[in-house]
Amino acid sequence: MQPIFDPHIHMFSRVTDDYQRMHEAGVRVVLEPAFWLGQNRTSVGTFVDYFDTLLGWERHRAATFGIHHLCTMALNPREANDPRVNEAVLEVLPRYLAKNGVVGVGEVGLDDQTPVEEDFFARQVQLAIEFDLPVLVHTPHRDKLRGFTRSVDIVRESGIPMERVLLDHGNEETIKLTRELGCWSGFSLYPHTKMSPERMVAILREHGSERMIVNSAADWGVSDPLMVPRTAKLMEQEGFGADAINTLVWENPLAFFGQSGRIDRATLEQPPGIHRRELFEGNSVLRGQDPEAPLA
Amino acid sequence: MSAPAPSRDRLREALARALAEALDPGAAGWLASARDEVAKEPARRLPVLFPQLLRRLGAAPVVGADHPARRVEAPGLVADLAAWRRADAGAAQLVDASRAAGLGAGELRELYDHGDADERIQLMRYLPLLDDDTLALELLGEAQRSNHQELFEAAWCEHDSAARRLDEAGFNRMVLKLAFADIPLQRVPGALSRANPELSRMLCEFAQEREAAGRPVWPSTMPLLGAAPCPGAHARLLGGLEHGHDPLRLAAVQGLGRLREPDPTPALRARLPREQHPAIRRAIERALDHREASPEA
Repeated sequence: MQPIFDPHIHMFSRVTDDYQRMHEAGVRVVLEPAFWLGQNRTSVGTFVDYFDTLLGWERHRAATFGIHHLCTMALNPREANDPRVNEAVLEVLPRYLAKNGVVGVGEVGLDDQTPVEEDFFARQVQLAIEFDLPVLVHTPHRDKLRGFTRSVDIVRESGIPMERVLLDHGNEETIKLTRELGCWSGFSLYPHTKMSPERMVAILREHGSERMIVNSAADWGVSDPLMVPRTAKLMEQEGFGADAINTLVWENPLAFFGQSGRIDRATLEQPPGIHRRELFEGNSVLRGQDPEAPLA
Repeated sequence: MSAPAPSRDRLREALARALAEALDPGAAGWLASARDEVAKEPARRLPVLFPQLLRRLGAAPVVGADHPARRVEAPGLVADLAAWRRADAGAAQLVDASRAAGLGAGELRELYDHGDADERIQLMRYLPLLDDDTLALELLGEAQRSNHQELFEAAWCEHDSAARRLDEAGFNRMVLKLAFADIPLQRVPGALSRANPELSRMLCEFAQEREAAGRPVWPSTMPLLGAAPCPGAHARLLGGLEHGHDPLRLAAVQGLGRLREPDPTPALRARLPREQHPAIRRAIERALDHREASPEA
């Protein structure tokens, strides 16, 4: 079965039924970017607890369904506007960017496209340079093309190499802009709105799959955590070869986020948590598995 | 109470030796310079280096199942080295070096609070070496309240540190959580010696709940009942000779072997000729031999 890496999905908002169905459909790795929670937060403590959840409980939850959980960390563009939290979050962010399992800075970018958003976007790209991490950019859903252009300018001004930047939530128009820039292009596939698997397949036919990323961006809203497996299936039906599919849904996200230097492919190719029940030369190393072992 | 210092040092040395054998030169070099850094500036450098342990040293066990020195036994300390990952063993060295250079309990607690899942596991694995009982009990409280199985396994299993440190109420809560998680008591050295009638009562009630739900009873219930009977324990143990799934019946024999009164010998003898499961037969024979050797036991 084709293993699948969904590199943008907000599992914090999803139930275990989703994890189960995702695993059945071949999903083996997810990346959850730090984002807003549907309702604005009012203190930095809630960000800290949310970030800790991404590194702790959510990672564990995914592992119990056989899925590896990676994440990126950032102050999202919407809450960047909020002076109750914005500076305070940037202050704690460095310790999160040092964590194993944090493979990028994101989601940063623009939402309403205010000057404050631009400032926090630029500052976090500098943090990415400092921590040697790639950047996941959320582009606006409103006034998208202008948002893309402005994001490209900000990224260019920062000095970060373009291949370490992923501009997400793209469409047929934005790909024309981003194709030649050397950055990566992300497409979030939704059941009824924005980009669909059919439109994605059309884009792939026209532009190929080099530096292309697809994801479900599934969150609290109407979204489908199986969009990447569905797209893979559609590609197969439309005559794309196994290599092309594997490149899009496995190799590409691994390559982009692997630029963090924190991804070990061998680990991701095995079920998570296996090291805690490590089989050494075929025998369980944990003595207690033998029911005849005497109690102390 | 933590284990005596010489025993903790034995565990330290065993972990260090095993890690030195396991690491390649690159990883060993990184660890050595990380130790130097935290020795100079513990509060500043430990939080930066600690998160790197897993990717620098890896998650493979520090010794394999067949390692001759796998089990560490010293006065007041028992540990199974195979449960430590290389990252855990490296973490112990960094924390030791930091504490020797003055890192305080508060800073160590903060390292835990700021840790991701793996870093917290690394710190739980440090508990057998930690001489600060207050901090140890705080972290054991975190384990008790956690839903993350690998975390509380690291805090409680494959060493006797938690079983020794907790007061009776805390110990009983730990065992009840192990029962809920279906973790066999064999994984907690020394636990059986702290069996008590209140724990047995809690486990009997839990066994009834499981039976009412049509789910298997935690097998380790049985040895605990034998060691510290409560009302109903005797009947449950005797019943365990005749019904229940095989691991439960085996555990019932182990429990009957520990039961002082009423004398289970007649029941064991009566079961033996009808017992078809080879491991359970052997256990019955062992239990009978043991009683013949020390009939007052």
